[in-house]
Amino acid sequence: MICFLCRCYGQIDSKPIDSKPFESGPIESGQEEKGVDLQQVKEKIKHPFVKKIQIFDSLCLDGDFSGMARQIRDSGASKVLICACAASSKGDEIRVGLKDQGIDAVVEIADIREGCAWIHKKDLDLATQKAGSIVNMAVAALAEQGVSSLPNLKIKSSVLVVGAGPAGLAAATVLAKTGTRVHIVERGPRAGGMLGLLQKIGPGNETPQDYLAPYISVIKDNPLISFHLSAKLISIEGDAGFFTARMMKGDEKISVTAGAVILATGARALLPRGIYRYRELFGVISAMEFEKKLKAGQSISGPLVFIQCVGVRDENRPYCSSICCPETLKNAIQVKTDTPKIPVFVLYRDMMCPGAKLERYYNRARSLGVTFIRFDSRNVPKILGKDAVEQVECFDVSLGRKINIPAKTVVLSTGLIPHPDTKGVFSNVTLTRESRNDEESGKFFRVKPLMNPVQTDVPGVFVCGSARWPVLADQAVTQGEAAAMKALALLSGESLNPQSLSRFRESKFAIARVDTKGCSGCGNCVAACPFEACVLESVENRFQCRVNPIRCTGCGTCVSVCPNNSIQLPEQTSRAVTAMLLAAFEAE
Amino acid sequence: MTGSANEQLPVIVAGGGVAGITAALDLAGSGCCVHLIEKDAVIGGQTARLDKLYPTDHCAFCPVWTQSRLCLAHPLITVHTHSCIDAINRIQEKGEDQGEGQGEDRVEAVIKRAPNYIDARLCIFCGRCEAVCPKNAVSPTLPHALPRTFLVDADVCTKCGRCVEACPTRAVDMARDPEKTKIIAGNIIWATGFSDTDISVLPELGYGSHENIMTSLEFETLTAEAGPNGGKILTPQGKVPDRIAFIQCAGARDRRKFSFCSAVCCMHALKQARWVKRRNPNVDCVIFFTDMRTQGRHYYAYYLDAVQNQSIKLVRGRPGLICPLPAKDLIAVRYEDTLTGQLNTQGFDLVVLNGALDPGSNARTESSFTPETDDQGFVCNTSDQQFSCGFCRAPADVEVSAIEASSAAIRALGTRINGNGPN
Repeated sequence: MICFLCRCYGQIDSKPIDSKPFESGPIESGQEEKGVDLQQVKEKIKHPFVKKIQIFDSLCLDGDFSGMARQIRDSGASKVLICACAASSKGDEIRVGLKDQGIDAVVEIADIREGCAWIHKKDLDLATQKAGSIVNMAVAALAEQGVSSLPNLKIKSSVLVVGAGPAGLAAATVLAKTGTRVHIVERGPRAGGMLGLLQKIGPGNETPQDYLAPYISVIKDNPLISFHLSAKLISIEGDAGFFTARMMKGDEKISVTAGAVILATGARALLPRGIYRYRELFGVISAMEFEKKLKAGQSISGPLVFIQCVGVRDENRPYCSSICCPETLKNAIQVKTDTPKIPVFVLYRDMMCPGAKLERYYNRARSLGVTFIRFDSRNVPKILGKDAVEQVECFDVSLGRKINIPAKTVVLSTGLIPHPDTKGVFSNVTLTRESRNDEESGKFFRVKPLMNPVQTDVPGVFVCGSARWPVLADQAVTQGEAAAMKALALLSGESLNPQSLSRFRESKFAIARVDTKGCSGCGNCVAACPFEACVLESVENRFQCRVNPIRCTGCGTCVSVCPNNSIQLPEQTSRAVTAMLLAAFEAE
Repeated sequence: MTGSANEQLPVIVAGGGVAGITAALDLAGSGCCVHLIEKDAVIGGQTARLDKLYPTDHCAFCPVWTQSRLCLAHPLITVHTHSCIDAINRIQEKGEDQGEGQGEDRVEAVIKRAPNYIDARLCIFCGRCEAVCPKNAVSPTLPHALPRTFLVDADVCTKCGRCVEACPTRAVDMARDPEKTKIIAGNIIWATGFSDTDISVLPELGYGSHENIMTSLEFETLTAEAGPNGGKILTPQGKVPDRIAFIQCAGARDRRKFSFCSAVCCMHALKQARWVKRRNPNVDCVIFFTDMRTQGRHYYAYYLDAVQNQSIKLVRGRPGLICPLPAKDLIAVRYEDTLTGQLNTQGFDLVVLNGALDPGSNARTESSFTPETDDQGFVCNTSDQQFSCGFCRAPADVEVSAIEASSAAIRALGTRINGNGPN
């Protein structure tokens, strides 16, 4: 091991620097700054593993790491400890700089600036003592530390897209445009998903055929896309880089391999059974049935009342399904433009039309004469009538009183629910229990929040469109493309490449390793692993744990539950941690 | 892959916020060179200014900072801080080698780097420049954004040169001139985000009449854990407030300012009110809203939790008058609660105005070149070479920006091989 100590131009070691004395610096004001005595720290490092210790004025400046790289190469060291600033300050730069110089050694950063020299400016002895401890702990840990390794993977350069709704089609077409092989599996007989049920697609007011045409044409013409229609997916197995999917097309069994999987299985409209006297009174229909009517060109008998938030935003399904308000606006505008005489009322709780386009859409509906009436969730409207709808009784919160609206047709604007059929397919190895979607509990596929919102818990599996959360067609397309981008980046191999593994600490840096001799096959780790990376395997008539290197995130949960100490993170073995603690107490 | 010449060309990403960073990392992740142009000294954009993010209530610091670090360290990404796009010229070359008719479109962009006195590449963040400055013109950059460096306020600076002498690494140089660089690129992705805007044009909101009437981004800075009060909820006078009003749609959904809905503010106000409640449950938080637009992933559950478990009060109505009371640091808010029909006037210690976010201002003012915008100020996808994502395309929060950025990135990649067919 080779160890470099950085003076950081007097930031760690406050002595003036020969090349650039700073007489006019803060020392002038009389409050002399003290720092770490690096010479003393150097003497404190006694670990036999350390072959060479060097003090530099600055390690990061000028971005020139060739000198450091030469020294590492000359010493033949396989481990390098850099005692300088925090990794986030310049540590990353040094690490990357050395890598670019062709250094394969393990580079570890020990922070003796921010966490030591700076906060103990007033006490030279304390700072020196602490720096000694920090460096010695880092040396002890590094001496014991191993390196995680990923097997060299063969990454399949194709993508499997499940579902041919707008999200799936967008993902497939954009991937094909970048030269990637794509398999699309669609359960139904035609592409388009839920869009096929719609009459028009707002706010652009295009027909589904027009909307989908650019995608369909690419799918038909591009030789990179294999489109499996009326194919039932049976299972997906494998891991990022090499998934195998099996499906049935009629009686024919098809098996495809892919490097990544994009789930675009969509959602389903809720059937408002038992809500608002649906199917009990003539004239009460669901939004989907209304779409069907419009599509078939049937006349609408007015007055027309839309009721929002049917079956969602309640106790059973405490979520907003996002698409129903824009859909109602679209249909209300349609009715108002075709037959302006029909009075149209929208009973809503909150009009969910965020953004620029939808807000404009809302204004348009209002200017066409659609009446918007706000109701409260505790006081929902009542539909009155004997056999057919006659009136809707509603408490208008803005007026503060009950009003009766004459009505012939009531459209129940129902939300979307997770697709019930998607549960079984991914129940084998592919998705973790937590991240599957579930109709009963209203759970959509789980994704990572914020910065990578199409990524599931499982590397290589991405979710987009309404399978992820109810969205409009435009957003589904954007999400499909986003998922395609993430899949493409995965196929290019950066995140799965063992060589790039240690480039950044933030990306995956440790993979649990099982000592097969010590493993008793108790299965504690299998139960504990939140990513379902640990599996039990039968080897020579006894159970043994195996860690899936792609799923493992190096969290260390398995290490803490193993009774035999036989599962370890190579970067942070128990021996390394013990050695670190011993070094910490030795210093005192 | 393919032999297309464009594939070798870099992509320019204008704007280093969440959208820009995500697009850059995605492109670089698939092997494409990226130039990230950021007008500020640091990347991270508006999100780096935020303290917490909804719907997780986690620090904004963590995701943004990690991605920023990756961005700065990535070998394929060149980050240009203090820079903007000065001009864009389209170069259309007739396909010479391939002889395939159309040839390939390229873009030549002139990047102007403003003269910043401190070179972030040399700066070791020691703080000597700040300590020696007699005019307090030197200040550190945002605590949560990278790269960490100092900024010199050119308006205050007298160029006395003390910081130049104090700097141990010669990072300070007073004599830097604006630099211009030309970059030939295949595509440009606009991710210029939004900025706070002056809403004193709406007199009833009283913005500018008292320091306790502030925009939500100002409030975020005031209450941030890395802010002036270390996360304590205090008024600018240092008093613990009794009541805070959050006014929604202030300057948005309003024809006098922005007629669009900014889409992020309902959740943003809920997040801020939750944060106030978490730090000090005795502070009353009232949100004045028009529609609570909580339509995203898990947003409604977040809203329900705020209302049911955190006793955050919601009033539906737009205040007609907000004005400071004389001789007191109290702001009177006059409003009609449209759910009860009652007209009320109430005093608040702090009034937070939420809603007016200007999508076009960054693109408009910071560079002499302006991308094409629509009538509301949003950047349109102008051609098959230029794409927009994030708030400058349409109102978007972190999650939507990240999705749009990835989508723009793959569209940019898609233009490179399109038509030539796969290999």
